[in-house]
Amino acid sequence: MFNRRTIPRRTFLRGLLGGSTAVVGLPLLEAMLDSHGEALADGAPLPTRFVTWFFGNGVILPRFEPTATGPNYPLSEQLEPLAGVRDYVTVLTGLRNRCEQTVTHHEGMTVFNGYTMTELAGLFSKAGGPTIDQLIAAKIGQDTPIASIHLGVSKHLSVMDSGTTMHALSHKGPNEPQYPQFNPQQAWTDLFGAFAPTADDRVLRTSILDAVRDQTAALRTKLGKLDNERLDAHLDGVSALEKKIEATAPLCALPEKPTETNTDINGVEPITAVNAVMSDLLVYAFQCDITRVASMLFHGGAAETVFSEIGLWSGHHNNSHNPNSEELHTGIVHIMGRFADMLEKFKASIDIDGKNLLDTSIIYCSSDCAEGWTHSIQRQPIILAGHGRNKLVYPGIHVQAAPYPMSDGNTSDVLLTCLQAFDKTATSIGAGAPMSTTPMEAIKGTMF
Amino acid sequence: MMRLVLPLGGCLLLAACPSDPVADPTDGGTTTTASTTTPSPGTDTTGDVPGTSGETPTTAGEEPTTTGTSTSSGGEEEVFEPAPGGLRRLQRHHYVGSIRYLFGDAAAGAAAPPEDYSLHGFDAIGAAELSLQESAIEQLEASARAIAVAAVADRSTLGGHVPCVLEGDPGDSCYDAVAADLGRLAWRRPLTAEEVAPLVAIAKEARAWGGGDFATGLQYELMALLQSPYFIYLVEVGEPDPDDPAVRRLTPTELAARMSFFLLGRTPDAALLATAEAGELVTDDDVRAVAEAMLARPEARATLSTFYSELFQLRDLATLNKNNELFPQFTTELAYAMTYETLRLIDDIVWQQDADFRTLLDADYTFVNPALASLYGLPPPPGQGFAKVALSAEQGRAGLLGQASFLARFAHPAETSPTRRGQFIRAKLLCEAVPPPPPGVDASLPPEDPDKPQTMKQKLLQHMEDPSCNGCHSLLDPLGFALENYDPIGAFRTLDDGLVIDPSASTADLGPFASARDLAALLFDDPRVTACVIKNFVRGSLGHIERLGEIGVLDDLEADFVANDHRLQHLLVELTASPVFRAVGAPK
Repeated sequence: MFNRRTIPRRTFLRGLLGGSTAVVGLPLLEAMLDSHGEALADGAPLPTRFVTWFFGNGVILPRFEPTATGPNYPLSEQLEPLAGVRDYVTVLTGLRNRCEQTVTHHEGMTVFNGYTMTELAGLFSKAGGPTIDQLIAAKIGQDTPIASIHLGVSKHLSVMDSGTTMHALSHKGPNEPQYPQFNPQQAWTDLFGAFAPTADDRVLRTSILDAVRDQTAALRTKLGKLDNERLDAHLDGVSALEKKIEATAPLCALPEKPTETNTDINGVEPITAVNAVMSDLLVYAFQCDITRVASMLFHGGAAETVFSEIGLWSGHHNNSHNPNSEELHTGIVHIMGRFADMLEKFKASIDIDGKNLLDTSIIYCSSDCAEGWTHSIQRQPIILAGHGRNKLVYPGIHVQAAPYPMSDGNTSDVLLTCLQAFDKTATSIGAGAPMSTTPMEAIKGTMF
Repeated sequence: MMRLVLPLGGCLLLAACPSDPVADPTDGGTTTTASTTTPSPGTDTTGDVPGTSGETPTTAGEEPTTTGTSTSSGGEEEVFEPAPGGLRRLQRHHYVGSIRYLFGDAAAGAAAPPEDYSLHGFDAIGAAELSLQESAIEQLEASARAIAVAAVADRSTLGGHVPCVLEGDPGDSCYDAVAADLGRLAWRRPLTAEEVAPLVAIAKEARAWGGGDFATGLQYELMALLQSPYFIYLVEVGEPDPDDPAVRRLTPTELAARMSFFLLGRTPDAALLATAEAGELVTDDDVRAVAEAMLARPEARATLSTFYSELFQLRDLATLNKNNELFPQFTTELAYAMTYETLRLIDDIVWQQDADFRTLLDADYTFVNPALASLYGLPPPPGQGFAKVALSAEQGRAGLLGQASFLARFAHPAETSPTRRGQFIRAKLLCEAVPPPPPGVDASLPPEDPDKPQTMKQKLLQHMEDPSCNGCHSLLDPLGFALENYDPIGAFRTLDDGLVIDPSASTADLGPFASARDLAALLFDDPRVTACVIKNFVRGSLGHIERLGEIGVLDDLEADFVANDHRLQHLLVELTASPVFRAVGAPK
């Protein structure tokens, strides 16, 4: 039962989320802290957040990877957009994604869960197991009104691939994809809509959900295993909704509903604007402690995304099949720029205890391959941003697992390190060849 | 989750690409295309299953292995094995269609159910397999609230189902009537007293909370009905067939619901439920009579349009991006006209003429508005609306493959894509699966020499010289080469990058061709196309890939379809009467 908050409602600054601007600056929520400022008022540890951030079709390794390792590594052409947050950024290169099957793109997603995809048939597959954000949400999600939120920016996903692997970044299991929300208005509703003041009908809503539970229990007996798992997921959703209904309104004013709806105009998808609003919503949700876990599918692997907003009219996926394409390079820099937009907003924000959200969050960023024209996963890059209250190394470093163009190690080691930052009891992640039992020492922080 | 590694998929994939050298030296015996993991239920039998078409032309020397359940080739004894029963979530159009029927247009406009998510290219399969995520449960609540508010504000449609809601001051007994009568429509079966009681209790609780206002109680009662899993999911578990207890057939009300959602896109009406409950929806002729009556309703047309809009991915046209500098005429309005053109032709063939459905492929006419006429280089029709026109012979167009909806949808923003156009023909018209590129293949096309421009066809032919690419691309790209005279938005052209286009090409299974019209003529007579029309309904409406144990029944349906002039209305009626439609296996 979610009932942790006992602090009376207070109203803080109203955010400005009308357009694509406005980093929402909340004041410190001292009321939420204990007298030493080192824990929440109820004694719970200060919150740490986790985000997965995905972009499709890889990079151009020689133009992406830094030329030196360790701290103070030089930013590459394609990492240059991260200059403003470089201290918070760790780059991992030369690691091998050990997925057991390859069909192009799908196998790259193993860097988010450590499982080989399942039900593989042509360009169809389902995720083989839960993604790291869901493992972390299972550990810390009960402390917030929403366990995890799933956002997306470019809605033109792959039409050649089918199944769940390429169309959702987050998964609880093969039949439980957590699809991203691409419309900022609906994302606002998912995050904050439940807290908009309305007539207090919580008792009635809960009664209805009780009836749904009873009906579902009766229905279960008629069905097989697969459908019972689906009903379990349905009941999880009912419980999550009930938790929101019963949650005390958050300690901050609700941001205004954004006007952005992610609608293309004359073939131009408003990617930068949507990314900015989604990032604002995420910052706000973290500062308000409405959720602590998020996934952001910036644009899909093998997707139809066209960066026409910067004058690139051939699809980014199509460009990625040509290593010499300047349009591919420009697109990658554009992607990193949008990633930087979010990180800059995190850095400009103030968390409960006066730190910024990069101090208190871990952001795990990767793609679905190393380079698009080979679809190789042999040297799949990973970017870690934020140190999550010194769980991860700070200032950021460049770790090279093997010299270019070789590869070594296991990308899942990075996953396990991130998981252990939230769950000390975790001893492994994934299964089969991509499984890891060995966290990566080099990226552990002082408080790991 | 238990995973079975079956040889089936791999052999089929190999069969599809005879010269594909698949082996990945780094990966031992676990190469992608040589083994495929499949779950125990819903085994993915792609289009080229043995038995679907005994003459799959590219399978020389490859003997596909079956899963051991049954072999259906050669007309030996076949064991009919239906797809498993269980839950299927209402797709958005089912949900909204039901709300429109139950509560009227305003409530349907307020409905906002969660998105559909497809598997294997079909929303219906996603609806049969995937779980709802947490945000979807909240969206279902919000949608139920918006519908209930609208339905209570304008009760004219609701009053047609439950008259007491129109009374000046309805008593609490009206809540009983709503639960029983509207509940029966929304849940597609009679409610038990134990099911009515909690709904009425919620209504009374809400009425008290709302200061005694009947409408408040009604609103929350409707919200409860619409959030129930019995509304959100079709429950199809069946009962033993009295004639053959080894087979489970849908119960009469389950059958009524399946038929109504299949043909009308909505919950069954009271009369049909009464027919079913009275035991008058049992014989094949009972079913045929009901299906024929349904096809006479306007919702049947809309539902078929929804089906083909999904199958042909017409619905994506509204958000398709094209290079604005190259194609300034590609506007939202033109994209809509492209969609409408295809749906209008289907409407003409199926409903106005009840003609051979394959006319969709070889029609020498189409329907255009002034914008489309301009795109096609045809004289504008009178007025601003659509009119039937003859296609110009010089452009080689015929039917769907000459239409801009298909040509634009399966092209890139600035370039054509012979591969995608070919893939569409394989997947959606022939029901064949084409495997992904082999591991480690370099997908890059050769670098372009600005002094030596190449046509798209020349670039791809160079690509196909790589033996690891050739096996599959030789199935796909030639189909698209024949369509290279149509640019990325479907306009006719004779030059590509300044070079004369040569649309001539051939595939092993179809032979030579050089235009949409040539392809249409070859596909028109191809039995795979006929079989695929039927399979697409199994996949896109019933929500599963056809199974080996269903092939015999599907063959029978195909023979009947052929014998009845390939008329789609006839097929839809016979499909509802067939065991594929009426039987289910054990719940999944």
